[in-house]
Amino acid sequence: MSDLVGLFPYWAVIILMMTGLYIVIAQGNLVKKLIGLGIFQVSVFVLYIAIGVVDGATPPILSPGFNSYSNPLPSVLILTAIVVGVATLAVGLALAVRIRESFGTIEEEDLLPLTVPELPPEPEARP
Amino acid sequence: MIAQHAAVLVVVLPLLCAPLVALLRDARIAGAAVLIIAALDAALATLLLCQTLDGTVISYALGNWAPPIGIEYRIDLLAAAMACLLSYAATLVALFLPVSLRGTIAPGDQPRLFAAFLLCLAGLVGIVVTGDIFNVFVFLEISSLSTYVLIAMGAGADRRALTAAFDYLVLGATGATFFVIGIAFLYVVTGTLNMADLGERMATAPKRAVIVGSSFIFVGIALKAAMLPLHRWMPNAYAYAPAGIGTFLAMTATKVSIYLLIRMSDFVFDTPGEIGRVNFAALLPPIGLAMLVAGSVIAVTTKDLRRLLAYSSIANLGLMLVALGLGGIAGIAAALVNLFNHAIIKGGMFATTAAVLHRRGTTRMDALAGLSRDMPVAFGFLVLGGLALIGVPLTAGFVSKLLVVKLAFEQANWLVVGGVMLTSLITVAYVWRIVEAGMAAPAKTAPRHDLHPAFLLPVGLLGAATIGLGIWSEPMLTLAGRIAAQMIGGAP
Repeated sequence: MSDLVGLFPYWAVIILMMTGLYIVIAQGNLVKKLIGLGIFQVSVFVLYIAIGVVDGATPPILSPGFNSYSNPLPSVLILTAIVVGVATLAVGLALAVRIRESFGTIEEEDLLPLTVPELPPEPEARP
Repeated sequence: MIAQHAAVLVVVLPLLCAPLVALLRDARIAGAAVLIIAALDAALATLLLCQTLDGTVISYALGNWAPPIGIEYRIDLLAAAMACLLSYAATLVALFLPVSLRGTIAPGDQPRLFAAFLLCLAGLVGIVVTGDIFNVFVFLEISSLSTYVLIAMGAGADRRALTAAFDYLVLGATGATFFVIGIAFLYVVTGTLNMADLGERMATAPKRAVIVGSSFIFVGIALKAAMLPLHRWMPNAYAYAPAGIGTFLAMTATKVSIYLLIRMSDFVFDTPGEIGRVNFAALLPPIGLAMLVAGSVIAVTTKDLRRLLAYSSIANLGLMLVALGLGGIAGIAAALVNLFNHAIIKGGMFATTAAVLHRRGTTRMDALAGLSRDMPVAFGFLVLGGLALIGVPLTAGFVSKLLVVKLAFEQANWLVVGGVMLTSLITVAYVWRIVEAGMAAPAKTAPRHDLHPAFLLPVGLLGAATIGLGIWSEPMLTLAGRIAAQMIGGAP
């Protein structure tokens, strides 16, 4: 029981991680895939922030009367990972837009017959 | 001054120049700028190689914060040699990149493509020079994000580049996220991100967390290295990217992942006598053999030259993994010789393919008819590369295959010996397909119209190196041996 409560952030991480990964694999819609990827990455942000927490400690600001501080490094690291996540999402969405413009669809099952290697090359249609 | 800071300049130079190149208006000036920057970077990398050749390890503390608290750039012989490979590959590609883009990408878009190319170079070089594991992740993402953009730029010739880029984005981002999860586990039990420090503290860390962490890292790298069964993104990415970019990726991207595997083997792999480490080395020969056979067999059935070369790359990556898995100093040395030789052989073939694509507008096998008559020089270089892939004596490919077979022979690993021999036969089959397609009589005779001059230098140099390293293999073998000895003996 105490594991369930005490490790709550980690349970949340596992659930988010599996949800995200499942969406990435199971969804055929490219935008939904990116949403899944986003959830997957957010789970890692939560994981990092959770490992920086020290029980009963204060935020890492030096002041008299407090001598136990949380670890700020994981939070700093994850700032970088958040930026990376946003950039990935931006590039992914931009690609999804261009795929919609060229192929007229962002559903994987409709894209599959249009992208088989046997087809002759066709330049992208730019509006 | 420059010699002192070369360790960081080799990353900073392309990183800072990338946005400046993006601001340029004129595609020709931007193309020339990329060539100059890549060449300067190659000079810096050569300087690093000279400094580390005697076995010294350069430790550069960023912002003067002493490691392991601060971020450390740590350059040993392996990192310097890899930095050389990456920057020289970029320089050679930059020679013909502007020509190969002509007609498929609007001149106005080209400066931004060149900027992404420089960012990709900065990211890849960053991965090899840094000594900080979180830094590896950040550089991995810099190189990956720019690679997605570069591949998508192939849409000007073939819209399937967009879906290829998207597939790679989803898989690549998932792989990188696995890598960060692994870092989190290792950080929790060791409290450090410095790789050398991490290796030391891992020995006494709780075993289960280390196993979970290193497994996540292994899967993350496996995805980037196109390890079976996570290779799906790779053939499309190579086949639909703009031709010059495909050449650069074939020479560098997966090679850097193999580098990461070797680097991580410092602490991810099992070293006898130490606890708390996972033995991934045992996994590598079976995966490598499967890639070797599957890659070669699929290469025989493909209908496009670039796709054929991409599947052949999967087979060759398999060979590197097999060599790594055989273990020991000799195993790492064999893997490294394979890595460098394959980058040169495949780089030459992809560059020649780019030249063919530039003249013919397609690389479909059935459209190669008459190649031996219209483009005899290009055809000759393709055949030379093919012979090296088979492993014909007097080519670099012979040396790399011989090393692996010899090692497997000594270990009485007949499965590996048989697998390499068998795939050499299959390689003959797919190389023959290139020869057959090129010799076929064309529907109508075209005037002789060989390589554009821009391709001559890179293709010629890589072709010369393919033969040169086959005849005069001693320097490469010595270098690889010294790197491997430094990795195993000198590793903290």
